[in-house]
Amino acid sequence: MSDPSRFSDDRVDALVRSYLGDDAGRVDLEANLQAVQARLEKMRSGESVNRRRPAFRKGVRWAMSLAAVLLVAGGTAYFVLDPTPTSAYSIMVAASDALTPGSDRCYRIDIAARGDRFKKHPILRNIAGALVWTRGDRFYLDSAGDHRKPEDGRQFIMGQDENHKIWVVGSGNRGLRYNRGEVPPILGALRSTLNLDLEKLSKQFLQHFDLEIEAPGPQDDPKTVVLRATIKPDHDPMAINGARLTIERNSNVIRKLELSRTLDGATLGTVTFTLVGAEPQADSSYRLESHLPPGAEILSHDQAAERGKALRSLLAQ
Amino acid sequence: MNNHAGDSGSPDARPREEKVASLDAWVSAALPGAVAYATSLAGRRADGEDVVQDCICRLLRHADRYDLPQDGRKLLFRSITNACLNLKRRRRPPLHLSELGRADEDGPWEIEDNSAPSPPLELLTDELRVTIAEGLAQLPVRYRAAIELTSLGYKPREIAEMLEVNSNHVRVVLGRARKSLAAFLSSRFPE
Repeated sequence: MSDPSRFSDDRVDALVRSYLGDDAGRVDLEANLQAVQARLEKMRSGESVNRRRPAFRKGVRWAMSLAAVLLVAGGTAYFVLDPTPTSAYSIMVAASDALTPGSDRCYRIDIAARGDRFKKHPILRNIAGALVWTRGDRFYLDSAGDHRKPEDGRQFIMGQDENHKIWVVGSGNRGLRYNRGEVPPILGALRSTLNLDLEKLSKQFLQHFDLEIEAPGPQDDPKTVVLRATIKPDHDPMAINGARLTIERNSNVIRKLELSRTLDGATLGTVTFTLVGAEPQADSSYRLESHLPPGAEILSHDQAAERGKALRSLLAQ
Repeated sequence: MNNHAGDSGSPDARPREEKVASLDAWVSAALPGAVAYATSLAGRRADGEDVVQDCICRLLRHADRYDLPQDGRKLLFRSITNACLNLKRRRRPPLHLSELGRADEDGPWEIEDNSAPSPPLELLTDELRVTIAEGLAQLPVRYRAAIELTSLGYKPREIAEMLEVNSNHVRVVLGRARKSLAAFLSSRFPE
């Protein structure tokens, strides 16, 4: 018969401690230090971390041991001893980290179009200078919001809700709502212009763009730093091929973002987002219903023909 | 972990080289034991190493908030515990709190006297080492965490914080883990 009392609590604890100590002695310290260093480097450059352990021959482990220790020291020094980021990538990482997911931000939009591709759309002229609220990939814009008078007197209200449905307030206070896959090109272009998902965008800057710190000009605020992001050479064309970010040094908040937008490889123009507020917004503010009077008609997938007519009427005004 | 952010007090004013050397020594010293613990909880060496590397990087990234050579080991083991519990949750249905039992059903439980000297370490034979590993592996992960952290010197209150249960639960879990492991060992090594 076995007798568990032979293994007292103290002895069990001691055996477990011995087991863990024994196993700790079997850990490949050098390989792990090397892997930690690799991760620190990737975190620094904003790449996603490859969770594989680096493989190398046993014969060179002793040499890598010293190198790994020195590299880790360099990595820790980078993160620990320089709380104020000094490289463009570290500034971008800090700015990305400073973003609170799901928070509301309000930006003033300015559009500088190259050629007349933007100007031919009255709606785009109308939204220049308007305020857009964003929360992740949700947004809404009211061209007459914040007591602003649209250039031509016409109010334009548009947004995207939590279900990625695009909506517009049409004439006669009728709502137009579009599922994914049925958004007309003009509204798709507007969504692309107005939607500023900074969490996603900042990651794209880190992964697909070359970043550099712009030399400060005499007019620049010394409390901010300006980064220039240029899409990496030979990278596939993206909707944004460059950006200029104005970032507060102390808070790492992105104050201003100038995006160079492209279509079919050609630069369309520059859209500038300037942060003007970050007060929490009600969830409903990103939904169509909250921008319509109670009981207003909403045209959606089932009334596609009438919805199309209403949109054409809105755009032709 | 943020609870510890303020523990480190004023920013460290030591010279840069000294801080780097100190942190580097901390990483080198803490890593093997951390990997052994994480491996035991995660069940696989590769997962244990992955968890530890990730947790160390996260701590280093925010090292300006902590005094890692002083407090880092506890922060690291806490991070590892959370990460391994999450790993287990992703792999199989979560352990229901009811599995931890009521705090008073197996009591009374003694409060550890941390001033008492630790029992001497035993020199493990391969057979004993493998058997302990098997015995630990058959415990639920929270039981394993409780007994291993206790063997490493953590108090029930500290373990309770890591497991996000109260101290009484930890004592219940620890008691069951010890009893279960003792029974397993005695079945494998009958007199």
